[in-house]
Amino acid sequence: MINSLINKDIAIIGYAETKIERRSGRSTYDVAAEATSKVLGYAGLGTKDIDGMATVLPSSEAGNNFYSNYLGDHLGLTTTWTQTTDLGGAAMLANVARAASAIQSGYCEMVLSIAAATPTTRRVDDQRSYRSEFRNPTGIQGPPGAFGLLMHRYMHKYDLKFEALGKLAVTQRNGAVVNKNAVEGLRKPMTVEDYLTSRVVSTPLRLLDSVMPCDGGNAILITTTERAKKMGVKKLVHPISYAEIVNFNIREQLPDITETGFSIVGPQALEKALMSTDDIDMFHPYDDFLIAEMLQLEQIGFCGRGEGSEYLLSTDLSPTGKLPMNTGGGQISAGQPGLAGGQLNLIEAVRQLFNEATDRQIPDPSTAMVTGIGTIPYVRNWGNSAVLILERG
Amino acid sequence: MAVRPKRPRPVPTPTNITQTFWDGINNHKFLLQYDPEADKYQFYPRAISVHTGKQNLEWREVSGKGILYSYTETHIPAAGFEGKEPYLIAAVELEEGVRLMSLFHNCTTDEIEIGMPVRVCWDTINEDFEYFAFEPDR
Repeated sequence: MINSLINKDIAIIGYAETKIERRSGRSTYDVAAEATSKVLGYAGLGTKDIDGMATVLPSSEAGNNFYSNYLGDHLGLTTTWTQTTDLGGAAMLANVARAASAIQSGYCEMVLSIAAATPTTRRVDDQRSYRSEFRNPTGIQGPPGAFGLLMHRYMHKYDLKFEALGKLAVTQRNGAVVNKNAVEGLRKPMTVEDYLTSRVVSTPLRLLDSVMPCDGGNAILITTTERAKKMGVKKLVHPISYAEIVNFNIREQLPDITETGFSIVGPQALEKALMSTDDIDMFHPYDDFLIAEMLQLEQIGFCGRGEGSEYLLSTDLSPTGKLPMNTGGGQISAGQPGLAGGQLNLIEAVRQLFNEATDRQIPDPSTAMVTGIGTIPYVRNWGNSAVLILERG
Repeated sequence: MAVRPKRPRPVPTPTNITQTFWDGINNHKFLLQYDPEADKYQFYPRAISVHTGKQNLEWREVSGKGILYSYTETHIPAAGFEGKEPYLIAAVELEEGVRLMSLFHNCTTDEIEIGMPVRVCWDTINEDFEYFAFEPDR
């Protein structure tokens, strides 16, 4: 299995994020500018040092078919490699792998991987194909409805303990309480009881199973390890393995809706990294809904199929525990800054590996697994699954 | 007191790919695309067979009978469904081997059960357009 990342010649050398806010009134460009300025400041670089840019197409700019140009223009970037990825919540992990390949191919050397989205201020996406005819007229409540279908099927097949999901919700909320960048409305402690009694959206899914859409942005810098060392950078994180799958089992007309692409890319990413789940010091899964995190635990191989509830209940998920999860609150408790949310948990993993997570710091971590999810196809599980494994330099 | 929807329930705009399907629905016939080479059906309607990559698809009228694969009861309504909550949405597997989703009629939350026999029924959006839904096949 080819893995061009395993030699650790690619490094993430900086990270930054904005405060996450509801209905901020800010434009995508304003948020992007703040994240960019902060990450350049973190690394001691200027706009002239950036020769590559990768971003995600957010729903606040989805009608703009020259988004890369407008964004780079606003930020003052001239680039020799430029990429807007439209894989939703998997896009920013995909961009790490794409940026690494571009750097290794010689197209650029210093990539700004920037995510900015303000869907609670402006939302202009228009997803056609089957949606307008076969989804929207049915009355299904979007992603919560799709996850309601998925959860009932899971419950038909396996044992689902809601208190296990509640424990995960509380764990992440504890992270958001000490995360200054989390949306203020969610920075208050909650209990398992709060989860179990929160408002039903689409049975059996409740409000506290779900992310809250917000505005926000974040950025990382990706370069060669050689360049980082020449610059005198002290803190490095290497992406050492990546795997993605788009439109998982799409030809099957009766797929098992509880199965996802993580059953393929989870084991693949671990094998490429020459690791097992025991080698992962912390897990930062994409978290649009709590059940999605549990399915990932099962399908990547932290536990077996149907064992997710027991695993969550019997594992210390806190920063000092056996498998710390989404220590900054994740999207579910820090708020989901639209599709910039796809880089939120990666930022937290880098912060932890840089030993800069202060009140929620994991003691001396050296590895992390981060994941991304994108889109929910017609009566299926999610379409895109991505796994990135990081190692401290 | 009923809540007035902020906007009407979305109505499909048929395309050249889906026109035959919606013509069928509006004449109370359930048509599916069939790939004779793969001997398989597919749903939703497309301009290509996902099974073989050929444009050899035929429309076939099917039974509309199947089983309930999963369901969800919607408590916070989608756009155009305000005031109708709570309402049931079903994921259904038809005998022909495709899965579909729509409203589930004539059934209570206490009665609904994964694996129960179901059949297609008709669901009037407005005087010009019928949609498809499902109900128990009792």
